[in-house]
Amino acid sequence: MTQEEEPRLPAEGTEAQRLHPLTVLLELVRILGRVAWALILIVVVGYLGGRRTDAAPALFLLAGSGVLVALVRYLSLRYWIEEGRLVIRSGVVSQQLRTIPLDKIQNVELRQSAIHQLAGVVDLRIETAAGPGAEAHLAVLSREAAERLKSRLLAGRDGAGDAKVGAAPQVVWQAGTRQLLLLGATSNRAGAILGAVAGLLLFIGRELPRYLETIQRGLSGVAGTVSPLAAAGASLAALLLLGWLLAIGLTVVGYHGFRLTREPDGRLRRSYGLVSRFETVVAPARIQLLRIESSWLRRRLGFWEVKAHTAGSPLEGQGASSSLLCPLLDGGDLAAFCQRLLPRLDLRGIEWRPVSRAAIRRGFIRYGAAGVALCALAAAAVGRWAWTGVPIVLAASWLLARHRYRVLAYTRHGGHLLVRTGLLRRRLTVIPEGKVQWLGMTESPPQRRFGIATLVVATASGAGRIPDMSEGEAAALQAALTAAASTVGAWLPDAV
Amino acid sequence: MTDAGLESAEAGGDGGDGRGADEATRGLHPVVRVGWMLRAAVNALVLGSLAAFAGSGAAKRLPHLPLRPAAIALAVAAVALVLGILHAWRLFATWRWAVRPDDVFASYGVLWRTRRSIPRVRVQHVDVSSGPVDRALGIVHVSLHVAGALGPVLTIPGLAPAEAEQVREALLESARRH
Repeated sequence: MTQEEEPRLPAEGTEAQRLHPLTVLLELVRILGRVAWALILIVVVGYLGGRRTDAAPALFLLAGSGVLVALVRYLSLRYWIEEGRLVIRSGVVSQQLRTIPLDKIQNVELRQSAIHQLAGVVDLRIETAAGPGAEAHLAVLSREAAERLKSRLLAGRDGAGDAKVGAAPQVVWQAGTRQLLLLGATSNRAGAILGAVAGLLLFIGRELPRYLETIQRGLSGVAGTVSPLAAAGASLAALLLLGWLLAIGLTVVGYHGFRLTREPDGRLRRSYGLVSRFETVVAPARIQLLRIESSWLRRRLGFWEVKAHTAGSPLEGQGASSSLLCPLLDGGDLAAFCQRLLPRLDLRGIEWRPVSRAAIRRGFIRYGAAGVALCALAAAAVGRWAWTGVPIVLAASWLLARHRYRVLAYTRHGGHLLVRTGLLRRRLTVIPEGKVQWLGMTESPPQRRFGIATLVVATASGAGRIPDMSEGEAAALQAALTAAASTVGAWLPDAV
Repeated sequence: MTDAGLESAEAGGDGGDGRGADEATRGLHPVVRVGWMLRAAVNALVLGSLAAFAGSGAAKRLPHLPLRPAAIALAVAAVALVLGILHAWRLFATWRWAVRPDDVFASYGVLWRTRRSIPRVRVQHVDVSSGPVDRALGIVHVSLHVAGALGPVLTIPGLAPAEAEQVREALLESARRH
C-alpha cells in the first residue's frame, strides 16, 4: 500500500484542498472574542483598584500569536478524499496525518456563526464513533467547498451516492412561528430569571429602598397611591415578564427555521438558527438511544421534545442540542415520528411494567428524611414551631413516593427497551437492544434492605436507568438484554 | 475459556455472602488484599497527618480546650486503618467474576453492590496493566473497553498474569469468531 509508506501526498489524480483564506482572520476574531472578557475584567479591576492597567501589550501578544498559529494552520493543512477515506494532513514541524474511513463517519455538521454567515464560510465538523467530540474539524471552508465535501463524505465510498442527488428531500418536521413562540413561552427559565433577580438585589443591596421609593413614586403618578409592598411586587413581576419575553425572543432566534428532512438516501438532515446556523446530518441506523422528554407544563399542552444520541455525539449536557431532532412535537404525532426514526418502534401499543412496590418505601424514606432535616434546620433558625411541619412533610413525601412509583416503568417492545422516568420532567428513553454495550445492576444499602436494585443499560452514547426494580426482575432483564445484545453480533456503527 | 486454575482461584474467597455467586464464577488472587491494605495504610497516614495539622491549629486557637493533636492524629489514623483493612477484606470476599459463554460478568461491592455484564461481542479491546506494587505482588489488572465509553467499563483488579492471559485470549478468540 503506497499511501501507507508515502503518506505526504495524495494519490494521482486527487487534488489536495486547502482551507478558506479567511481562516486566519476568523481565528483572530475568535481569539479576541474569547479573551475579551478576561481583558475587560483586568481593566475594570485595575480601574477600581485605582490603577490604570494597560491591556494593549497583552492584546497584541495574544492576537499576534493567534494569527501566527492560524497562518501556519492555513498554510500547512491539506485535505483530500482517496479510496474511500478522508485524509487530513497538517503541521509543519511535526506532521500529522489523520485518515478517516468514510464509512466510519457518524455525523457531519456545518456550523455558521453570524460572522461566518457574513463571510460566506462554514465550520465543518466530522464525528466518528471513536469517542465524544468531533474527530476532525475543518475551520473554515467556503460554503461551496463545505457542501461539496459533505456530500462526498456522506455519499460513502468515493461518490457512489452522487446519482441520488436529484431526488428531493422530504420534510419530516418543521417549526412554524406559533411553535417557536410556544417553545419559548414554555421554556421555563423561571429559575434563571429568579437567579438574575437575586443577583440584582445583591448588587443593589442597601440602595434597594431608594430604588423602590422611586418606583413607588413613579407608579403613584400613574395609578394613584401605591403601597411600598405593591411597588416591590410590581417590579418583581415586571422583571419576570421581561425575562420571559427575553426567553421567547432567544428561542425564536435560536431555533429559527428549524427543519428536519429525510434525504433520498435515508439520512436525516437538521438545520436551524437565525444568527448562528447549524446543520447536521444523522443516519437513523446510527441512533444509539432516543430520549423523548416533556416538562410538566408542556405535557399539559401536549408537546414533547425528541433527542437522538448517536455514537460520537458530544457528551450529555455539553452541546446536547446537536442531537435534538424535534424541539416541540405534538403528542399525537409522536408515535409516527418515532417510527420514522426506528421503524420497529410503535409507541401506541405499549404495556408498561411497573417497578417494585418497595420503591414507594424507599422514596418515602428518602424524601421524608430530607423533609425532616429541613424542618430541623427551620426549627433551629426560626423557632420550635417549625417542628409542626413534620406531619405535613411526611404526608407529602408519601404522596410523592407513590407518584414516583407510578411514573417509574419499563418494558421491552419490538426489539427496544423503553424506560419511563421523571417526576416533573417526564422522560422516555428508547434503547434499541442491539445497541446495548454493557449492563450494570447496582444496589445501595437501603436498596439491599428492600431487595431492589437499579439497572443501568448503557449504549455507545448515553444510558438508560431503571431504578428500584425487584432484584430478581433486574437480574432477569440484565441476562435477557445481554443475550439479546449477543445475538445481534458484533457492534458496528451501522448495525440495527 | 479453559477452566485450568479455577480451583486454586476459588480457594481464596469465602464466596461472599453467597448471593450472585454462580457455580462458575471466580474470586480474585488472594494477594490483591495486600495491595488494598497497603493503600489503606497510605490513606490512614494521609488522614492522620491532616488530623494532626488540623488538631494543632485548633489547639492553638482554642487554648482552653484540652486538645492533644498527637492523640487525635493517632486515633484518626487508627480508625482509618482498621476501616480500610476491613473494607479490603470484605471487598475481596465479595468479588466474583466470570467469562461466560455470552458475557463477561463481575459482582462486587461492600456497601454498594454492583453486578456488571458486558456482552462478549461488545468488547472492543482488553488492557492488561500492572503498577509497581502489583508487579512486586505478582498480579495484573484486566480492563475491558467498549465503544463510546471514555474509560474501561470493567476492571478486574488482581489476577495472576497467566489467568489474565487466559481471559484476554478467550475474549480475542470470541472477537475473531464473530
